[in-house]
Amino acid sequence: MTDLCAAFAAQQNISKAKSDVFVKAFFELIKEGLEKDDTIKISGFGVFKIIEISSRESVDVNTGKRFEIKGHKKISFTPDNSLKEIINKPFAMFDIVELEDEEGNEEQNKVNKAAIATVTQEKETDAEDVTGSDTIEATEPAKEETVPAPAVVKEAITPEKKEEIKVNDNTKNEKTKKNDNTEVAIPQKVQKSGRMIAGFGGLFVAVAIFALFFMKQKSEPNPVEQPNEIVKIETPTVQVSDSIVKTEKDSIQELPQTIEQPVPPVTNAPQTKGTPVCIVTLSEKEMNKRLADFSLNDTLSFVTTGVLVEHTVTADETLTRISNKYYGTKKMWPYIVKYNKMGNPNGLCKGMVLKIPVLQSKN
Amino acid sequence: MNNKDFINELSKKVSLSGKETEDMVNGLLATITERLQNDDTINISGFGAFEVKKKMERLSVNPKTGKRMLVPPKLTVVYKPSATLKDKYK
Repeated sequence: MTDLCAAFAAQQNISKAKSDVFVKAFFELIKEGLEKDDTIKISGFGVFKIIEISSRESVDVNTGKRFEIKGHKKISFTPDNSLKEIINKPFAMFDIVELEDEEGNEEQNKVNKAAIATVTQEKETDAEDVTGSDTIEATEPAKEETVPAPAVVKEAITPEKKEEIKVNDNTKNEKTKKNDNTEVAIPQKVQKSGRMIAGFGGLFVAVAIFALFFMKQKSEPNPVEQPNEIVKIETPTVQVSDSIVKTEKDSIQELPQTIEQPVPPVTNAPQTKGTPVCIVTLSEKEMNKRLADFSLNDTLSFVTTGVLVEHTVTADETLTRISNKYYGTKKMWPYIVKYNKMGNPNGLCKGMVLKIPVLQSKN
Repeated sequence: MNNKDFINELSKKVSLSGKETEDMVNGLLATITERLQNDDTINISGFGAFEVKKKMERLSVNPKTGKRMLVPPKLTVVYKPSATLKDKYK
């Protein structure tokens, strides 16, 4: 409260004592008004209201007895639209997304969330004039982090935007032209507290693994730079410009490397890293697509010549798995279906004896 | 009590003209908003605290059409009345 009074006094050019009196009177009056009248509307701020909470029944957790919570009154505050908008500015770009499928399953939700995350990242990066390859690199980790990722990323925007504003104030023309993952990561780490760091740590690790995977020998810059810069940015805002310059240099050094590396196809990612569910489902989709593409061609390019072995199906086996076992690829299952004259490829059950054909290329 | 009444009462209280009071109120609100924007909590003893909180994204269903919507996360101002004030209305 004293802080507020001091800030208010400075802003209005009045003495601290006077501002103190005014602020006190302001909130006193709200209290009085609430007593007299049930609602108080202050334009540009919001509405204070006294609402009644009706009595309800509850159960004591320890004894299991039912008891009644008596009805009481409560002060509610609804912020004004203008105040809401100002406070919500960092998240203003989000719109309500209508989900198309009424019975949309979990997977779809995940995909949607991932999409939002991607959009977020892109917006961020667009605003900062990042080169194409960087954008892609930035969006891909976001996809890999399943459910928690969107939340983390969104949360992250707040400090980043603020940071950006500050930077703009201090160093108008020094815009962060060449931005890379390290720079994105650091302001966020600085401004938010523990949970944020923990959450973002995950993302950062993903990024780091990415970098490690594709740069192999040059994986050290990220972790090494980090501590220095955290210290730098934590110092007063005047120094922010310095640190930005520094990160810019660093990112320039790093940037060529990232450009050189080809952007990885999505399907490669899950196999090389034990990544979360979402990417797995994505890749499975991809796989199914490919399966659909290839199986038709493949069923035509081989001929079956005799029985290789007879296979008894066990509980957890699928056609693709059997195919993988004998031919080293999942794609050959249609041959097994054809050779065994199975009407329904989904009708595989435990104890079935399948003849595994020998395949010979037509060519 | 609407905004006009509030300003009138306040002007009586601090013995300033209506116009002056209105300016002061606007100034005060601007200061508060600025503080909230910087993620500060505003504690006013005897009254309560204003705080910015993040609401998570959620799925909601339009009861009429049955359509599912993904409501984005947002930041909102939350007011917590002080213990004394709370007790008064209990």
